[in-house]
Amino acid sequence: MFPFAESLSFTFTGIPADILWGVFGLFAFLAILWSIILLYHWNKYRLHNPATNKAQIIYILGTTLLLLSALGTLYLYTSV
Amino acid sequence: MIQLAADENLIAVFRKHNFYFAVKIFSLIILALLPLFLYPVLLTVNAIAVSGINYLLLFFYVIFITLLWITGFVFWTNYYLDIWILTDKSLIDVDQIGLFSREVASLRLDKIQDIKVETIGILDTMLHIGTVHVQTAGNEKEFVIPQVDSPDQVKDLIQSACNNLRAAGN
Repeated sequence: MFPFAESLSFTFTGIPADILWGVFGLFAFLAILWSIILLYHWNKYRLHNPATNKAQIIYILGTTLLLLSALGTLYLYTSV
Repeated sequence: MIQLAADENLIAVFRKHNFYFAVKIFSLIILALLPLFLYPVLLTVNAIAVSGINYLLLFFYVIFITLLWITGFVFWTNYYLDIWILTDKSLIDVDQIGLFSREVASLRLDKIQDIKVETIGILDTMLHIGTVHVQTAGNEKEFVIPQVDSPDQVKDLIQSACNNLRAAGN
């Protein structure tokens, strides 16, 4: 069905767990940094923008859930 | 933060039509779905010999989705904080250019000489989206409210506020 896939000549044997935890740590740090920047904007310029309160709740819940999911899948991968 | 004068009353807040914001969010959703179509291709690759590969792929997918999620909120911030405030004395343009770039300009209503509405294209016509140009008497910068919802109503509101101010001044 996908003939080009068979032409790959290398064998992927995985990524070391340390590197993956490092990637996750760096990404989580950047995500938290961006979140602080966004929350700062929503709180500083909230005048005439009442939906920012609702956005904060949705954003914090969603980001936490996604970061926890990433953490969970990484834990499962490294513990297999 | 925009602080109005004590004797200044808020009449309306305008922002761009949410259609253009929705288009950006739709493109993010398409991007989020793309890896799901690539997944069957990856399964055909015999060169992958990793136990728990699905967890690894899921990990990168969740990271990717988190990136799109944050990008979506950056789009929303730029859309939602980009506003025009009409008061009984002035028109204030809060231009949210980016997260660290913001410009606030104010125009006194008594300086307004002409208000023009421009609607271009089928989509804008069908969705009642247009650009309102507010021209002043002097050499001051022209105020432009682009891609606004119901531009005729916006024009009427500004015109009415101008008329009220002039009537109160006479």
